[in-house]
Amino acid sequence: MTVVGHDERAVPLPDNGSRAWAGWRAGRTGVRLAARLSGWLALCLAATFLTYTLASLSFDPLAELRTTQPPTPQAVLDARAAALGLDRPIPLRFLRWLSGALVGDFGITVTGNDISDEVWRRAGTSLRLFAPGSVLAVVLGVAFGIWGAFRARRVSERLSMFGALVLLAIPVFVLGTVLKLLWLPVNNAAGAELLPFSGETTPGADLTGWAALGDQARHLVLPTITVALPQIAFYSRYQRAAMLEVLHSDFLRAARARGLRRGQAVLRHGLRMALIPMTALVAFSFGLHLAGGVFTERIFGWHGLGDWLLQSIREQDAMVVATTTLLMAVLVVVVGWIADLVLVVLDPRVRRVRP
Amino acid sequence: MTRNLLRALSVRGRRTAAIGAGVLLLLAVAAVVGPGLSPYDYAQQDLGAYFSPPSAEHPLGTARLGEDVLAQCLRGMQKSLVIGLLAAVASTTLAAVVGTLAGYLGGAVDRVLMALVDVLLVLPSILVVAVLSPALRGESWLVLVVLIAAFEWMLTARVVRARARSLRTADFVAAAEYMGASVPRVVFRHLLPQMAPLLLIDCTMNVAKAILAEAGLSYFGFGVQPPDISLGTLVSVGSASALTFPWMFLAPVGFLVATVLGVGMLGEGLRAELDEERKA
Repeated sequence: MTVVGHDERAVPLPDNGSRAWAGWRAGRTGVRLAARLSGWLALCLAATFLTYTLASLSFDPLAELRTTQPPTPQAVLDARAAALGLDRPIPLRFLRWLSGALVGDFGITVTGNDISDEVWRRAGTSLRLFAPGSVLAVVLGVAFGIWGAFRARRVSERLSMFGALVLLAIPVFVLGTVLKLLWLPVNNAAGAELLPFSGETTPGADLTGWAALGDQARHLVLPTITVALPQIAFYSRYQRAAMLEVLHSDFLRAARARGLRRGQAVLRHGLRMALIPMTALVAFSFGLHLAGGVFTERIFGWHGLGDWLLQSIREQDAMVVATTTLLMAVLVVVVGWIADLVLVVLDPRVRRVRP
Repeated sequence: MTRNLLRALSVRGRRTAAIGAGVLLLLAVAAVVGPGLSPYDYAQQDLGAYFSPPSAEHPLGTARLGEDVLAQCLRGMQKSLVIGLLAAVASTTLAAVVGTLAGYLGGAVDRVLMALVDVLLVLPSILVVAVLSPALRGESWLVLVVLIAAFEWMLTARVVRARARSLRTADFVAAAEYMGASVPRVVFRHLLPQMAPLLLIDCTMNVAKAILAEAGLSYFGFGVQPPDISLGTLVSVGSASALTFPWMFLAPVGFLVATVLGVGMLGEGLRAELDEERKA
């Protein structure tokens, strides 16, 4: 779910000495990046443990057995509970699951299937859906934001910024359906599914090579737009604010005073500074956009991790919840770490080794 | 506090805020008064008109059992607005207290509270609420409000903490400390009033977030449960037949987007005002 107008001040700037950045001060860049990564991974585990605990407290996989008529014997219930590991305390259950998960064995679903068999295929599906849209969104969002800052207060810019506000008011599940509604007449007019509404590939069609690739690409178009649009709206508003700040800054005026032309000054000095707050923004907001990805999977009938998570909540399956949560958290954390790397590239203050 | 608020409401950016407030007021009045004026109850079935498109009798058409879509939307909007407002007030209050304590006290308290914020921020909160939903089948929608609030406060808490950190060395805080004011007294009587405009704006934005969160949860059946209806459940039912009976989808979507946009414009306008005031 996209957040409407979430506050840019919420994002800690790298130089404000906050706790999250304290690690930068000690040691060399490589060591510091490793320290940051381990911090991120600890967050990952804590978040997964939290979700697993909540899921275990909230779910009751035996509910169906208990309501059967005639009643299920207690011995059967106990055996089932033992098979699912429900007879042990939650932290122990989590540790057992985690020790398996670390070597790639995620346990079994409540229906008895191996989670490991399914998880990687689903993770691939999710990535294929979410990665292109998100990368596109960051690039376009930054571009629109910079354009907006240069065109500040003109009619075209005001209209597009208002458009961004409208986009942020539209939930992802509405956006997906609206896109389908808008595209339906085109498909009808063409008499064929130019851009299909559901699934990853055309079922039953035995395509190979380029034809298969083209088929996949056509299935990707509408979901990618659904993933990208809200993020573009979100990032462009912040990029615009950051760029405006830079355009009015003293250091840019100083660069002009040294004789650089406006374009040169902005490209060489301004852009870098305007991009720095975006690294933190992407890192912190990625989790929010991921929720939108979960909805997108459902709307377009992609069987990825998000679809699995929603299904496992229905089936009250804590292990699948933990598995999908862990992978999503890892994704959030990897993106956060990439944002750290980009920050190191962008910001010389972060690279400087302090005594 | 009042003066700060009034100043936040003056200068410029006013127009955006005014339009947003106008839209909201209109919708709120419609949601409260509308059902009384409408000839149809939201659950009433018109057996002569299933799935009928918008007409003179039913301005926004009818649903599967001939329920008036307009009456449903107004009723649903009541619930969405109440949930949004309550959850936003609750989460902003929590964020204000946590953020101020962390920022003002610093040290171990700060580290613990901010670690909690970080952990909660890694996962999409709406999914965590969804995970908890099986436990609240049959519970009242108020539990949903508590849950949405419990997983929505983190970003505001970060903003408040940053502000409290910068205020902890301010003269008025030092003066209060020299007079022997206790921690709660400094937090509640000195720091929080100083941050009132900021909190008001964040609370507004949190209303939009909470309404969207409720809609998202209800869309997947994890939120408001029947027979209660909200804009989320209406969109959910409507989207199943969006391609065949579009009015059932577009009507609640229109109300939902208008509400969230109204709240968003109000918040953005107020924020522009506040920034303007800071620079001046």
